[in-house]
Amino acid sequence: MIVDNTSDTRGQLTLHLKPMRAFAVSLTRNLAEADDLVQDTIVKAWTNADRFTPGTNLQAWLFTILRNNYYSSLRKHRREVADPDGIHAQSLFVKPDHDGKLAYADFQRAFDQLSDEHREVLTLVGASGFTCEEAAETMGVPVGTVKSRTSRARKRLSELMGLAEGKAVLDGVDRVNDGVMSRSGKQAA
Amino acid sequence: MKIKPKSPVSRQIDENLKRIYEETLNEDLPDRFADLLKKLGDKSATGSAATGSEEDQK
Repeated sequence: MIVDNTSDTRGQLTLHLKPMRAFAVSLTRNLAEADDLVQDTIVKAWTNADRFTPGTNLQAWLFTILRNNYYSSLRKHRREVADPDGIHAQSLFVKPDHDGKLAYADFQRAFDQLSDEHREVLTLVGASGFTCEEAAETMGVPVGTVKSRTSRARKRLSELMGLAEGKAVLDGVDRVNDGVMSRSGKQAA
Repeated sequence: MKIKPKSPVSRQIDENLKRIYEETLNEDLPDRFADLLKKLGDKSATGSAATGSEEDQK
């Protein structure tokens, strides 16, 4: 019984690699570091597969291993901020004249400057599609903490971009978004 | 349970967060992960002695 569950869990790892990697990139903001993190997570998940409770959320379980790994290696090594360019170099080949390009570059820069905890909560709740409950389970904190941390993170992010959430400072950006169709032929670079 | 109606800034944040996440999500995985899983699979198939505990089936 346990054996079957263990091999089931192991067999399903492969389905979660992409989300794990996306989460790892959000945490580390560095592709090489993210891949190492995913690699370590795979090994840990494989080794401890018997500890996963079948029927519960495997992705949340994997994300928990991943983020715990990340924070404990942070504590050990203290982050070498050596190569923030790794990720930017990666993102640069995003279609240059995609809508909201300028806003996106600014956004990424602001996102990079957030604390790890803020990037984490925004990624889990805002991007990965986790509910607050799932995020709480993954992060090992109460749901209320997830909610308050999320709103603080969003506020901080807005500040970093020079925006105040709720204000209409973004009108330029909105116009770009809405107007893309009509002027998509315009050369950006 | 949505907290409050979304302002334009708020919506932009959501979209950009998703975009950052999905950029990686949509990328092809490097081979190293498949290789690793294969290696782990081979190891637990042959080297049952290594961990032992979960291999006492049949």
